[in-house]
Amino acid sequence: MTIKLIHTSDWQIGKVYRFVDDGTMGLLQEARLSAITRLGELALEHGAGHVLVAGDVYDMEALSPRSQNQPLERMRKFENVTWHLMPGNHDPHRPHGLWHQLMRRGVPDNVIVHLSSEPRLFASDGFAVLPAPLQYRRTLQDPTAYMDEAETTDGIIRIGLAHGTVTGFGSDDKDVPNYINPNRPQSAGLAYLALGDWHGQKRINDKVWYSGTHETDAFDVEGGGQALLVEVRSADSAPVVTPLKTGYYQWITYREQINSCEDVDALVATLRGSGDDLSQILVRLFVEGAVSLQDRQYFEEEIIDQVSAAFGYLRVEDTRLFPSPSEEDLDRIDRGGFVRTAADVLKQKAEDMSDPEHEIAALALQRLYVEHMKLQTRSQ
Amino acid sequence: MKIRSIAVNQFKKFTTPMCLDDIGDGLNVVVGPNEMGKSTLLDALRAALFEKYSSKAQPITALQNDRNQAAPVVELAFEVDDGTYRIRKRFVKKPYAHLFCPDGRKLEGDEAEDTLRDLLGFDEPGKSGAKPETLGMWNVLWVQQGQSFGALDLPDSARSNLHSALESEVGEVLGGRRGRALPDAVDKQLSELVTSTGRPRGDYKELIDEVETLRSELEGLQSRRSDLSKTLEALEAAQETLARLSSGEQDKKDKEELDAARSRHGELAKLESRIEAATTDVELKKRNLEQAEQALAERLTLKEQITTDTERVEAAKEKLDEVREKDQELRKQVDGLRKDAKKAEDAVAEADKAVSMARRVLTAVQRDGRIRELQERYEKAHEAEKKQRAAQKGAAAILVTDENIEEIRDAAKKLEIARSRLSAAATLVAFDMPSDRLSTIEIDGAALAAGQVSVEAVEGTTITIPDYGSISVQPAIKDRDKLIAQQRDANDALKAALEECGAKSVDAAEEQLAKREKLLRDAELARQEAELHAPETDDFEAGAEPLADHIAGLRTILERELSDLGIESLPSEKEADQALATAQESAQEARGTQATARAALGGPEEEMGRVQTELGSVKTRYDDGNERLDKLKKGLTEAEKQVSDDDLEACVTTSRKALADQEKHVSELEGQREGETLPQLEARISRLETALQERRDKRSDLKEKVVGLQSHIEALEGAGLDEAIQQKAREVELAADQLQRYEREVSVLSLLLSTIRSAETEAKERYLSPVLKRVRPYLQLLFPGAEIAIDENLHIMGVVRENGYEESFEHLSMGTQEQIAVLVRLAFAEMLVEQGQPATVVLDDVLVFSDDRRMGRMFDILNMVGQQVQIIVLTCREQLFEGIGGRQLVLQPHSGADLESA
Repeated sequence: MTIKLIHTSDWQIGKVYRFVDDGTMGLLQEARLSAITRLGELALEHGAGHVLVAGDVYDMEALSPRSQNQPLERMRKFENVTWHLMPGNHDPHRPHGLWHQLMRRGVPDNVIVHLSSEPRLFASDGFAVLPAPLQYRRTLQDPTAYMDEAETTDGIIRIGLAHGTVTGFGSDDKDVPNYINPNRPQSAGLAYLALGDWHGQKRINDKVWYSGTHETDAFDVEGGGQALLVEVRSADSAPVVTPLKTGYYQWITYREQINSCEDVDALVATLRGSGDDLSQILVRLFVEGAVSLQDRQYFEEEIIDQVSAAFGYLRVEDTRLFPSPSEEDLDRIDRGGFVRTAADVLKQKAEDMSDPEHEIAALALQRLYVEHMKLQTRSQ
Repeated sequence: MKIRSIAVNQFKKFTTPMCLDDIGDGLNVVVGPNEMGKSTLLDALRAALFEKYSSKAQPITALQNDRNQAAPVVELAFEVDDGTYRIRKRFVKKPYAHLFCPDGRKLEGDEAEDTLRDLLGFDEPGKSGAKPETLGMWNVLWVQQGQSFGALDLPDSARSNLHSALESEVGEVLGGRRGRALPDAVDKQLSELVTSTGRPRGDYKELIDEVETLRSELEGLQSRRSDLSKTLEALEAAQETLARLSSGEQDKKDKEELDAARSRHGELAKLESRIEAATTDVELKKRNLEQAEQALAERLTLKEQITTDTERVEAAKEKLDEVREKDQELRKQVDGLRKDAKKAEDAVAEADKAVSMARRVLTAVQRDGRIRELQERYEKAHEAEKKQRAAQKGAAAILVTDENIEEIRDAAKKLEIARSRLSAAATLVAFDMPSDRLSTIEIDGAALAAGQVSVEAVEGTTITIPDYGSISVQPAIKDRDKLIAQQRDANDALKAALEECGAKSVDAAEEQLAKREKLLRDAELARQEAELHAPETDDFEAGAEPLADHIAGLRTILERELSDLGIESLPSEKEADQALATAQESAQEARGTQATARAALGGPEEEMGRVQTELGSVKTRYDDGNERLDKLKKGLTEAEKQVSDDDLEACVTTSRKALADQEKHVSELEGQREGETLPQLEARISRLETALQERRDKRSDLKEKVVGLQSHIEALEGAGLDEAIQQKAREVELAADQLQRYEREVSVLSLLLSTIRSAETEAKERYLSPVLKRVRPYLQLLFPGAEIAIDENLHIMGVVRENGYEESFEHLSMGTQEQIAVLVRLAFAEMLVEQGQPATVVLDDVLVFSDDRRMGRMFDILNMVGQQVQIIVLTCREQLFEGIGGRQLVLQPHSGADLESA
């Protein structure tokens, strides 16, 4: 008999996106809930009766009842799917804490909350879940260590559920908090160890995987927005693990050089070619180079005003895009007269790196250009 | 440009051809009274150059003479770089315009006027004639009467003319209209963010407040979150403690200990009461022993007392005898000494009496001497008074006084006068003959007096010469009888006066008077002498009699003294003195003896007093001792009768044994305490009871606390604090970002604006520097240290005084406004001329508001400018403008026929 499970983690319900506007934030939060529904649908689609959520269901401990209940209500709708929830480092099980509240109020029947480190048997399905819930944000003992000694009925498949960091890449240091030994399946006879904490999907070994977050939540996450379909045939053999797409939004980072208006045009083409539905894409754009006042203005108009409207979100990091006012720029402002004098003064100030106001001067010069052009347009 | 001449005909008031010739290069002055037509000359200048010859506009027709309505003609010769031009125009009727060029060409009509415009740079006038706008620079340089003060009216054409002149000097520095709009646009944007003083406003200010609010809200949330964490920890701790307290182990242990303590406490309490009773018994026995011992001791003491007292009484008796003997001796000694003292005292009284006697004798002797002295003085005084009285009497007997002697002297004088008159009238008969013969001559029967050699005959006189006969002389004297009568009256008066005071003759009267005065003097001397001898004193009046009374009194006293003293005669004063001294010496001696006797008595008397006192006390002591001893002896006998000495000793021995037995019993009982005390056990019981109670209380408190904390947590958890904090932090961050953008925007706009403004200011300063540079030296002459402020439109804004204070132009006085406006015009003209542009300054009736000093300076300035620029000054103030210098021009009739009217 093949046991089919959906492995997911790091839903982090209640997460607040600090840098985006209110509207976008609402959409991003809603997406995290929608992805739960998608998980339920995928479970049904693939005939998986259980969804293991490997910690960090919630982003923080003290949440409003609405935020607490929103995912529960999504899960309730899938009556034939059993959802396994477990406290992670973002939502540890503290006395009288979040989980205490949830349990006190009651959770849907199809939701299992693993609050203690002891095997829980699902005899009819032929497997037991060995959870490693976290009591604290950081713990210096491997929460899966107990699994080595925990006993289950013979013939029952043991599935580990944990939240933390494994060695093997990144740091070798076993003193990292919430350390989990990636060889736990061997020592504890686990058929599969479902891990959470890393938001990108990652295979550690045949039996140990990070599912990644179900909906990407940052630009630096790679392989987010997925879950895993885990098919276990026996305790010894490696399970068949298949990534499933669950996320809605795509988070893309661009790093571009801009030195002319042609470069701006090329960037526009690149950005527009990012995907079919740009509204599902969030972009972080790093630009660097040196541009004339005119090209800078062109960049502002084309990228910041125009193209950004196509995306779900576009953030421009232009601290390395330096102004390089050309003689033509200045002549366009005026060939003579005091305005030109002011422009020359600002240009000189902007180019003097020892001047504490040189950045402001550069912006002021750009502004002078813009204002001048506005007046020109108006008078024409 | 230099205007050389102007000629008119049928032009306004000029109905005959008139001209102004020989206009010089520099300063020219046309002086003439009102109505002479100076302003008309300026009109002619303007018409010749700026008005269209063909125009029928009102200003042109107004050039006609009011009465004859002939066609006005004007001709103007002026010199520019390429030579002298002449423009001649006729207006209204058969109008024409002729321009005679230096190259010999003659241009006519519009061509002439177009050429003129190109040459001098002004615009074609409109249908209503030339206007300030069309005049260009000339409107500035040619000032009509009454227009020289107030702000300069610069038409655009003039301004562009000046601007091009300025720019050709300093280059293009202003930014044009767009340049002016730019700082305004930036300022507008900046002013939406900050106030003029740089304080945030509007959205920016609201955002600052919002960030503040959000931050405090975030802090509020964070503090509630930390409250939640603390409450959770407190709950955990309370539950742990409660669990520990609820186990009951400690309670059981404490209860057992408590029961043991209570039973032991009961036992110990009984033991203590037995010990207490035994201890009381010990005390009782101790007291018995004490009483027995005390009785025995008292008996012994009594016996000892009797022995001691017996000894003491004997000693007192001995002492008493001793003192009595001493007293007897002392009494004898004191009696002897007292007798000596009495004797000495009597001697002193005797001696004092002798001294008193001697002193009184001396007083009597002295008084006697005084009486004798006074007696002598009395006698002298008495003598003197007698002399005084005699002299006064003598004086009183003489009748001649100071008054009647004057009468006598007067009468004698009158007699003398009468005699002399008679004598002068008498016939003098002189005799010249030897004396022996003369003596024989008789006059009226009487012989001549010896030595008489002449006779005055008043009446018939008979001179008898013996031997010869007699000569009868009958003098013939006028008024002889009257003279004789006068003489007789005078003689009678003298006689009467003499008789009145009893004198026989005048000489006798004088003698009497002298005698009287001498007597009066003698009387006064005698009075003074008497007063000298018997002067007035405190005891008696001045004079002999009072002195005599005083002496009599003294004598009475002396007599009484003598009778008191009982002596017949007085010794001499010396003897009396000696007797007194001797008596005093004896008295002194007697006193010495008395003092010695008294001193000798002092010691023994004191000793006797002391011995008397001692005797009293020794006697008392002896009597008292005797009495007490009797009492003691009686007491002892009584006591021995009641209890014997042996019985007392037996009682003491019995009591001592009973006490020792009881003390041993107590010590045995105390040994049963085993080192525990009742307070100790009570403290333990109380401690254990409290511990049990406290644990009970604590449990119930903790239960309450847990419930409280739980409900507090439930209240807080509903708020979703972590979520709220995250969201609030996000809002804070977004708002802070926005705030930073605003701050940056303000910095950018401020920098931009300040840069533009300072560039603008600098540009303006540079732009206007050619005008200011030219005005400055002239200005210094009028207003030392001042600068003028001109805006880029060449409007005079005001004057910056030496102290930096700026006054706006409109607030300056009319005179100052005019002077400055003229200076600026001159500066403009100078600048234009320097750049090869045509410029001539015409000033009609200017500087009328200037004071003398400024006027003088303005003349200097006009002459200075005149070295470069042609200036024509028109004025009616001949006297005022006398000192202006320059070339004086006179309007003259024009001879040529070329100005024919129509």
